[in-house]
Amino acid sequence: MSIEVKHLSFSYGNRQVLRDISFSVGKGRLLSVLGPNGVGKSTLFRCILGLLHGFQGEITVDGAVVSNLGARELARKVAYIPQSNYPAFQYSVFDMVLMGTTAQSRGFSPPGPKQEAAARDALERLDIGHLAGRSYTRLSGGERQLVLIARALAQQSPVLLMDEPTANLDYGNQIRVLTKVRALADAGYTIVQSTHNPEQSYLFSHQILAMKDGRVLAHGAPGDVMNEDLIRALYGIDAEVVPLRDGRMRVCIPRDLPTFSPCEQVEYNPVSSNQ
Amino acid sequence: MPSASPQGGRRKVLIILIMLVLLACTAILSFGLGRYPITPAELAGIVLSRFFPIEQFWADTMVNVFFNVRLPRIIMACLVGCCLSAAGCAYQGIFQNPMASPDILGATKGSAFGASLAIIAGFGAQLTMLMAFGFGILTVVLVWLVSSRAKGKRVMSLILAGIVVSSLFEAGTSYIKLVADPNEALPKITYWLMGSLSGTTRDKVSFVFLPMLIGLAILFVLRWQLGVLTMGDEEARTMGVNARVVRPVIILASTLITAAAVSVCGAIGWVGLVIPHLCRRLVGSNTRYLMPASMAAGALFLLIVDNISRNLYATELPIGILTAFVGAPFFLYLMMKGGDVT
Repeated sequence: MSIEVKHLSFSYGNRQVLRDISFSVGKGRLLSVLGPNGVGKSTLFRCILGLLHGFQGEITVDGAVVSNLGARELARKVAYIPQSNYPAFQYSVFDMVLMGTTAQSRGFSPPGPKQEAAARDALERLDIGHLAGRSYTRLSGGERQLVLIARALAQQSPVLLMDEPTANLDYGNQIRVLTKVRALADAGYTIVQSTHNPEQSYLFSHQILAMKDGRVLAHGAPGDVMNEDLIRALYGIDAEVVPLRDGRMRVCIPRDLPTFSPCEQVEYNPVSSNQ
Repeated sequence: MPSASPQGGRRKVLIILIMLVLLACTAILSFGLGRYPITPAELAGIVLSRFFPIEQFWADTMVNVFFNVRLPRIIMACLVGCCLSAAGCAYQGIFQNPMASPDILGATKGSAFGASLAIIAGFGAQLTMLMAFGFGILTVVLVWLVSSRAKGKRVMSLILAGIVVSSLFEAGTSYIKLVADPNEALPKITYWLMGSLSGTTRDKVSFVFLPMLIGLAILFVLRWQLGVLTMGDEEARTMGVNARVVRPVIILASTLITAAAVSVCGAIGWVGLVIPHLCRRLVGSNTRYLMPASMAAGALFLLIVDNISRNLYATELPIGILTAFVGAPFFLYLMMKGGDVT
């Protein structure tokens, strides 16, 4: 097992956020973590990444107990892909990706030719080699997300953790990014992503972990887990879950919507500029 | 100014090398400036005569001027410029804030208080320097302790604690100025606060040389880790850089060199803010190149400004005034030219 979480509980002070969470993910699998806002998905990730201490239970990543590993050793096992962000300073895409190789360098030395090759490979792998010389802050949201994934690939860790990789992306970029993510899992990476989109988690992932009130509500293959009961239990929405394309997809259609007033007819008259 | 390595990397290294060559040339020329100019030929003669038997063709006073006046002064200008600029670069990195300068954690204000205290107590130059150095370090330690007890984001509480403790020490300095003897101590304090390299001696150079060298070496070695830290503590840790270890080390090194610089030459502003920004235009934001570039450019800048300050008028102009006169408009120019200060 690439990731094994056993009886994980965590509290911020008096507020218990995670309660007895157990699950495991095998090599080359993509696990989507579903759950309403504030359910503890990020806390779970931060425990796995060694950013939070003092939890109960045990987390094993790639055969090693997380709490026993230093920052560098852990970085060689798990790479983290944050939501696309704006750093305080302008970095080139290549420099950004090169940072991922930090844990591979000896001592404090800056990356050498070997690390630069790894960074270039990572960019090529996601078909964004042409962005190498561009400024990271000037990219579109989708491109930035791909660069962050490339940075994680350059880190050469077998396990990837993604915090809502499609948040803030337009529909086209969501599909493009998730297709790449799934391809990485099929190529052998173990991937855990948090998401707010049950349809996409059904379409792209091998497994779903559903969390509610800090507990595991359901864990299993998308076909077994993603149904009307789950949507109601997670989000409090009564929705019909409709299989499409011979069950390859499932679409959620909310029931009990109020009747909206009829749509207006809009006539679009572009005003010509010479008037 | 992003560019893909290694071609971009080579270009950046070349820029840094050019800065170093310019620094060396400026240093040699600087010996020729002043009331007793030393020509390059005399310079070569004096230096080489230490190792080879060369017949003396220069006046004896030149040797004295060289070893006791000009050489310490030039070394000091380079060291102080290098340190202030490197500390600015380091603080801008760890606080992910392009507006951070070496005095962000109060080292300068603390040193000023220590020096003022020493001056009204009637201490000599040596003790004043030690007091300034000690108070500079003490202030940052205080800021660190206060912020580590504060709740909330670490970086934010450090900056806030820095502002609060700085203004406390500033108030202390103001009070000292108020009660200081207006004929004796007050002008001395005022002059110290303006920042000046006049009165640089070999003793002063040897006092600050080691702490500066240690601090600069640490910042140089950790320059890549500093860049990773600008991604934020948690991201940095997931890439294998432990902020809880690296940040205090960088702050310690930066404080060491800032306090050392301020203790020997008073509060010289603007270098730590302007030079890293200028270098960002030349070599980009990656601290791997930005740190050494800032070090070289800082030394070059302060050496040039110091030459102006000691040669412009018959009496010396405090260098702190000049760095502000040069630095502030230059910063405005950078803002308007590029728009994007980061």
